[in-house]
Amino acid sequence: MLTGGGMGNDQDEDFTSFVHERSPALMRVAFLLTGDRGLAEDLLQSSLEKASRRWPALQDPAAAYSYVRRALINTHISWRRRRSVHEILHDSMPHTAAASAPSAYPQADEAMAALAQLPPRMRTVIVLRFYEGLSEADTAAAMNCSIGSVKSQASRGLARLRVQLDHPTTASTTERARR
Amino acid sequence: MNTSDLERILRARADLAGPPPADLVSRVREVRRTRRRRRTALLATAAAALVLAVAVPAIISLTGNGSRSATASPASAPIYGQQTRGPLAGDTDLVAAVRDLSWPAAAPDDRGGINVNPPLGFRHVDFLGDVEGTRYALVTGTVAGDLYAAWFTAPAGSDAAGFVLAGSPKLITGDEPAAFADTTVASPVALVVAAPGDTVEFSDRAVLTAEGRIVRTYTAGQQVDDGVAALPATPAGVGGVSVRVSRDNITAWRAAPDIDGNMSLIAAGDGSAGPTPLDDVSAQVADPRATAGAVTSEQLAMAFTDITTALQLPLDELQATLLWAGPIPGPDNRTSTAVVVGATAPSGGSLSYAMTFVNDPTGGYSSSPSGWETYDNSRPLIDRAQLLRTAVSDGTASGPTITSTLLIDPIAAPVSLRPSADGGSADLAPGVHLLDDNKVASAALLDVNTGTEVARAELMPSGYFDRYDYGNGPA
Repeated sequence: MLTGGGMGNDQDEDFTSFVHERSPALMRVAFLLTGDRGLAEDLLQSSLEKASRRWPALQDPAAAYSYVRRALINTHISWRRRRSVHEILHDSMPHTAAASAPSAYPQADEAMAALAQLPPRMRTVIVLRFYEGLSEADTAAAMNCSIGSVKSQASRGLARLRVQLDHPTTASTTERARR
Repeated sequence: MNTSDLERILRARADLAGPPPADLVSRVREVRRTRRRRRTALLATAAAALVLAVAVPAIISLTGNGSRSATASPASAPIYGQQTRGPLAGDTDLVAAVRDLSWPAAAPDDRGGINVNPPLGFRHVDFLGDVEGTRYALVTGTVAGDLYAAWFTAPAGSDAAGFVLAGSPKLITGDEPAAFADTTVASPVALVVAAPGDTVEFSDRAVLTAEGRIVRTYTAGQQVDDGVAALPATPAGVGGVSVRVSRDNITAWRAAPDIDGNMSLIAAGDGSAGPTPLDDVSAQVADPRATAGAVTSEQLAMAFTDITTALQLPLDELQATLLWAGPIPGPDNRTSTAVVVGATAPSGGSLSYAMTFVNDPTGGYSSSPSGWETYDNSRPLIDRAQLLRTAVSDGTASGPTITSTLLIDPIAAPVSLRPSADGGSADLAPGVHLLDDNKVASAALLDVNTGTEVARAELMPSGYFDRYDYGNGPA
């Protein structure tokens, strides 16, 4: 039970239930954003901690999910900008694409490696649009940008994914950071 | 590949994320406890100082009619929506023009447009003025009941049309100060807008003391207006800055400023000539075990930049040492590498920092911090052993996470060492032992001949936490 911080017992239980019910889905989003399971766990933990502080105002489960997902996005970008070196440097998602076990989808590993080479915002658009199934408007709201930006980022992202899949490269993951 | 293919691939890939940690709620709980402890400690320290400040005069003047009552937490104070502050607050035409700026239209081309654009009647210019050659504006606005803050910058002397949105608008609570730095301008500053009457102070860097503690000293910056202050900093230097805002002699807020721009810079070698890009640092790093070849120069620089950014000291003032780098157990078809670096501050205190990298067949890699520890000056860093735990995976649910516990001999060990008899071990590399027990919290190294304990190490704390006491970030 989470105590203090303005949460009553009922709210603690609600929060715990929310974590149990929704964290698997959020973990998948975090994993697609970071490409690394350890980072995804840290990202999810940090985002849930932020949500816990605002939990009394987040009683609608849908709103809570959206809030945590938005926190995932913001925190992911923030970590990249802030203190820890690898967070600063990894403008592109770390490459942890190819599974050691045979993939159920042979093209998936190549696609994920290509996704890893997209700039973070473009990658986020791809994940929200084509994994989370958000509309362009909802993606724009989640990312705090215009619908036009979502359209262009999605279009350019898809084009780059296609190019990457047709002509795979071995580019370094560490572009110099210029957010 | 069409979008249906992509959706299918993403779903398949996401399923490989695996379940979240079983103890996730416990982890969140612990983070919250840590935050509360820090806040409580800060408040207690400040309150104790306030009690002293109040009690001493009260004792001297026993009549006590006018004695103040001490409060344990600062009173809430309005920050936004007040009278515009800053050197140009009196330029009503410019204030109005800045207030009416379209946020999306002011976004730089590479930002792709910003959707948040508060209605004109719901905006307020909280700050407007020139600071160190750059014109700054802080504008807040309400959208659907949420308060957003946006920083704009322009060269000094510009009219409203010259402003561009710096960073993205930020959803704010309304009761926390705004701290911002734009490293792309000619003379960057950390600029803070707090409540009128607040005291704003800056710590330009963290300091590693002789006792092995990370401390910060906060001093007043350049006073810009009531509750507004700035600290000039180089683009590389701003990465070390922490801001403290006090109200009623109590710390009300502490954080690193939001930074827009390039942070992939390290302090210049001479400490004064501006930033230099991250590049090959190996020439400035002692490599007594000759293991630098196990990692790329970029990976080595990554490890050291984390230290230099916070401490704001060039490598040649930190006695930078590569304690060890080499392969560690990891997933099949991947090269997993650990790098353990060390630095000794001018105080004599030292620290070690470990990162792990997992390369993939495409040439990329993932990385994560695996440990960080500070030491007092009672012994040189080369006499210290390190105990760290690495956990690497190929990022898939089907591949296991491979955990290893490494015990590294002191570089200056005069004799051959072996881990103490608690559990078995194998030699991973000269001077590096791979322990069988992945749960140990401390370990000793013994002289192989006499069995005498030569060194002992505690497990290096790992994960994301505020190592350099910025006051915020992942706990």
